[in-house]
Amino acid sequence: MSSAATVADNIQSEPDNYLNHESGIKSWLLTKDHKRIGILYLFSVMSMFLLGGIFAMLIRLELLHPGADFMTAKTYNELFTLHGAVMIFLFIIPSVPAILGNFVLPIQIGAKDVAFPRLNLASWYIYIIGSVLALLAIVLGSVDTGWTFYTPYSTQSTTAVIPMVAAIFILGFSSIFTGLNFIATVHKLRAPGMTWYKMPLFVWGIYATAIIQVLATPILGITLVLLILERAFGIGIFDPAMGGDPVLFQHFFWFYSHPAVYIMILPGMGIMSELISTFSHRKIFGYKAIAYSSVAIAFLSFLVWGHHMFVSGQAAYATMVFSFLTFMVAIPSGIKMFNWVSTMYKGAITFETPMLYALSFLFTFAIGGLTGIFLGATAVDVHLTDTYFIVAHFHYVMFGGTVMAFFGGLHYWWPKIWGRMYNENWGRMSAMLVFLGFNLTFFPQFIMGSQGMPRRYFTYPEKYQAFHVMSTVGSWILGLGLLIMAVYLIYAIKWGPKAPKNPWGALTLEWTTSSPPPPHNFEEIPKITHGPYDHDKVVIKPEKVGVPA
Amino acid sequence: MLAKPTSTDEHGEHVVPLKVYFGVAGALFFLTMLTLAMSFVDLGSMNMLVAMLIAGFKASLVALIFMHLWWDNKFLMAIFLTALLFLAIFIGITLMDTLNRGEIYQQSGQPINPQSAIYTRSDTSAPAGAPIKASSPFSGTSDTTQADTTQTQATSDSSSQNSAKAMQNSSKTDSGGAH
Amino acid sequence: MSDATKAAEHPSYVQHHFASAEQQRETAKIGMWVFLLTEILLFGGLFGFYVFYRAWNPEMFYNAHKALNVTMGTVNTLVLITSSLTVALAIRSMQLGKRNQTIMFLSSTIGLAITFLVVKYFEYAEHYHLGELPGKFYHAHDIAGTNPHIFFSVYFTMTGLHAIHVIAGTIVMSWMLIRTLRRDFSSEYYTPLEMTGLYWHLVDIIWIFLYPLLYLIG
Repeated sequence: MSSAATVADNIQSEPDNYLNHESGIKSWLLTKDHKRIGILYLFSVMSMFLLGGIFAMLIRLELLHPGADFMTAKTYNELFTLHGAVMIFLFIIPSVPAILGNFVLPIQIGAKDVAFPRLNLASWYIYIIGSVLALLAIVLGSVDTGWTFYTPYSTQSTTAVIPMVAAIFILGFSSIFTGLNFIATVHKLRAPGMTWYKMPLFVWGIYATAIIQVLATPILGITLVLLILERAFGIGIFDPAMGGDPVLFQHFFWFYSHPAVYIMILPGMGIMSELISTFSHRKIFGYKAIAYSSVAIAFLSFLVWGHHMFVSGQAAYATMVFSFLTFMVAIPSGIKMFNWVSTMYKGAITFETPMLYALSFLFTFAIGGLTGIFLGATAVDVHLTDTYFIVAHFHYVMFGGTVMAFFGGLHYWWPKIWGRMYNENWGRMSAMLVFLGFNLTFFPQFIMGSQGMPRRYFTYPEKYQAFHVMSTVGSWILGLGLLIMAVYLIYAIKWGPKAPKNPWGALTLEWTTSSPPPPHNFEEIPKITHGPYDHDKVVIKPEKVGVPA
Repeated sequence: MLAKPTSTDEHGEHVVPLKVYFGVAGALFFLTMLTLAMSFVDLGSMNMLVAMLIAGFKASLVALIFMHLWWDNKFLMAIFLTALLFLAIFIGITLMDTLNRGEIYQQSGQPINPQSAIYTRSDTSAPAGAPIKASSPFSGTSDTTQADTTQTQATSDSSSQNSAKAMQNSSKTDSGGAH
Repeated sequence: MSDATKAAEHPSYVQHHFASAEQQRETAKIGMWVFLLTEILLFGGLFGFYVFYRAWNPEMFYNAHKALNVTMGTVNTLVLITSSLTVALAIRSMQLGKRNQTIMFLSSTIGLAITFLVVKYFEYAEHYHLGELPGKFYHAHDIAGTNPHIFFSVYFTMTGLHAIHVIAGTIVMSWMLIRTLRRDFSSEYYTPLEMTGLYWHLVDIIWIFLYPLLYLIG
């Protein structure tokens, strides 16, 4: 198994792991190993995060002063459209499932790989093709419809709507195949003894996400096809002049896009359960409640899409139904928040970087989630819709929720993925910059939104400028924190101190195998001797970093 | 290899007898012709229901027998039914909007409280305190009612700008789809 | 454990991450059924398109549907039902190790699929000739009701997407035929064949609904 210690100089011989097992570009581009595919996704998805982030910085820079600073209104429209489309379809939807899900999930259930490894690789290639087409669309005329592509403007806009929409259609298949793969994997490839209730909650989170992915994304697919047909062939489905209905587009669009936000948050919530339990060194509170709430969220998320359409002209009856159901869907999320906090109670909490992100999540997601409830009340939403209040709300849940959890998970599993530790001091510093920068960017937006500042507006009256300035400065701090994170994480890949099997003292299966794991994840089929969070029964001392294995 | 078909092959996989396959195919043929025949009988609005029931039965035969769901792990049937359930949710709840659209066109926007502070203006042509003729863009499909759809007067008051924008939003997305 | 036992437990067609052929087959079934679920929802959007617009324009739908050729529609329905039978028989034959029968039934299925497409072609050609086309291309004259082009938008998108799936299914079926000829399958291993069959049956099920909804309104 391990290579013989016949190495010259001071180079320590490395045991056979998935990184050094094969080398060369073909071994990466044609890999069927879920771990390598996770890494392929890591680099491509984070490149898109960078692109979307640059768009964001440009938007915030323009908004420092009212009026045109260095771009036209049309360019501004394109920027916020592209920021949304890139961040949502090319970054956040794939992020946790395709990167961390791919890497960690099979190991956590004791499997050698996902159910369909070739399909997994195909998913990545489909993602790349979709991304390239999206980039082409950006370059060949851009899009200025808003990431929501509402008709009738999207059927009339002279921008490159069809290539962009086609790109998203293709990306949808990447998402569908990833979800399909995980469902089959969780059902059939668990190691002996790994019952449903012994699975880590991260797996439950990814599983619930996968259910949404396969149910919702096809409707996005057909919506985009209809939009393309409308634009290219004038079939008239969304055109009032031809007896069509533009609001119908919104129904089709949001039937996917609302569950999509749960595709974004559920994996993050799965990560939260791992982080809170591990770094409180305490058993998770209410395992089954958290597991069931994930599935409940997956189901309920399909019933509330009309809350994006309160002022669209849909029937009042539908509006009432959607508002009521929106209040329902908050309940399982609330249950999780209480369970995580309860897990921390009387725990032996340590504040490594992943935990800092988990704690950030508790704060920022609470704000995001609560403001979502405010918006669920129609009477309130009528005033706040299409203002910066909405912008702040969704950034608090998507960034303050999913992305914080994603960063926490990234740090948590970084040593497992690369076999190297990142620098903890830089990690903590960057986490604090990210937290500070994020709140400074988005909290003022709640205030100015409630005072009437509309969203997607290129210019604004003087009285909002103070908020915009705060927000832009916040974006610089946030950007700095992220930049630092990128630097020390990438540095760690090659030059970080070697990581032990279990640097955090966690109890899920991935920490029983080497860092990095061997090509088939385990040397022998793992034996399940305890539950994933049994910190009350099993104590593992976290191993010292940097000590050779 | 045995020449005669058995109910399971040597690996324990279930083999459907020929009779069953041909029986189902025959039933499907018959039901197709039945559907065709029923379409000539006028049952009013029940025609659609009858046709869908027969189609549903045909689809069930294909799913249970040809697709083997009758003998398979029930989980697979659950997957199939889940798809149908969520499709029903999508179409059903959307119908709650599309079938009730007509109502909106009958409503005229009435100010809730004509003396409300949001109607006081500092620089508009209308006298202060007068209620806004906020006729709903949905009031009737014909142009006879209230030709001047004065939305709200442009003001510098941002809060009424907000509600004005909300109303403008809804008028922009007004559809001509309902009849 | 002897090599022979290992080989028996892990025949070449079982991929390395599966513990047994049984597990691989069960997993494939789950994967394919989830994929069929996504297809149901994809088409489902178009069924929605149909429902919403028929509810808004009931008389127009009734009038417009008369432009469809019920005979051809009925023939196509029977053709697809037969093709479902033949593909089911093809799989059954392979279960029993009868490769030649499998080849015959697969070929029949492909032949029937092509028949379906040919009939569809003639239908489309007729509509094209009469100007009964979707949306802005509509220029027929003798259909009463508001916006008759809506019916044809619905008709062409639904049957068009269905036809694309028939074509895709035919291509995959042909590939299965080639693999059968190459002796890739046996009574022990015929999973790809089985999965292709499942896909084909779904294509049939969708048509089973399209037929009355489009051709037999009222």
